[in-house]
Amino acid sequence: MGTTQPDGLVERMQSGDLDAFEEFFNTFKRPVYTTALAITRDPFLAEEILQDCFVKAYRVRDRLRTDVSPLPWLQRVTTNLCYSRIARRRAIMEPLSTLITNVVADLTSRPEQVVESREIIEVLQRGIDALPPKQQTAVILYYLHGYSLAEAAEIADCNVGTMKSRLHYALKALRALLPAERRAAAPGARLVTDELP
Amino acid sequence: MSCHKISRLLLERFRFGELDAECDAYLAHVERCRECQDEIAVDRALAGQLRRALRDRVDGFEPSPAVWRAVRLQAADPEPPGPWWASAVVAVSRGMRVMVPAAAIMLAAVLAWTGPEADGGQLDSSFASRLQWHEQLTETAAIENPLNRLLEITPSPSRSVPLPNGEMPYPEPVKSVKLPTGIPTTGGVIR
Repeated sequence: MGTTQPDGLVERMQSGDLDAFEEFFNTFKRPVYTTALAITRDPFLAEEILQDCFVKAYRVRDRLRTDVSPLPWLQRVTTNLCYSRIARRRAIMEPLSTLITNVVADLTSRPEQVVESREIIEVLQRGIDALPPKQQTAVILYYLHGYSLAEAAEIADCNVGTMKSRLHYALKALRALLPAERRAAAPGARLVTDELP
Repeated sequence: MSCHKISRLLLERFRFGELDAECDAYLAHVERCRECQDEIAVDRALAGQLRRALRDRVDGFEPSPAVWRAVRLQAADPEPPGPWWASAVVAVSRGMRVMVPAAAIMLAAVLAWTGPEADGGQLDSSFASRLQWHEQLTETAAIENPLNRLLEITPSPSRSVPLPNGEMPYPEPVKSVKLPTGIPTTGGVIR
């Protein structure tokens, strides 16, 4: 898994060594904070979640396994804290037609260039927010952290097939937000702006 | 295999880096098919943009040093005890998880055992008779008693005496009930 623990760190923490706990915090704070921030998009809330996560880790330190990295456990706690803290906010998917009209004006016939614009990033941001929590977690673990399928599945407490399925549906949903771009990508297709008033 | 199916199959392989020798035939098709090329290219471009969108969310942010101080302070404190009733609620809820399905199974078993199939579809006649008697009396009294003093209504004792063979006869509809004083009726009887 991405961040390995220094030898004996958890054991030292279990013996009540606060310096070891600080080292533990510094070792794993970044991936935990990144996950919280990617889900909540709120730096202050992400800090609160980071804090709660490590306080919880310290309180249950005796139950932490010493033979494996604690990062999957920390990430799982983080995602659970995120979704329990934030209201299930669903981005109000306002009509994208205006946005898409602006987007397709830049398009060329090659699909690699289709999705390379700032506006599409914004569409994707809203699309990510609108994903169900499990798919959102899958996308963040796989595409942001770069965990392997097996690692992401371990964090999400599911099997690899389920993780693949979540990613598949997440990408499908995100791709569905870009219908106009895709039409424009087809050879010989006209820009959608021509069809709009 | 259709073009669409080929591109869909390959999409997943491309996404998760699982291309192997089995894919060679499909790849040969993709090399010739512009539509499949576009399909796969858009998917890969989308994945790239997705990574970029996610990085945009987190780049430039770092947790402040105050977080560690807060974590250390909280960790040093003993965990605050929950409210006194919390453990009881947890115990009850754990018990309910077991008891509710067990009770449902028992109820289903009882219903199956005492259901219409078990006794030929007939309720116990005396029980049914008592039920009907009670329903009729209640209904009649509710209609006829404007002050709704149902608690003070006493049924005629003769109505509840069983027949010599032990059965409760089906009673005739109650035509009158005696009411205590205070009700403006003739002779204390409402008809």
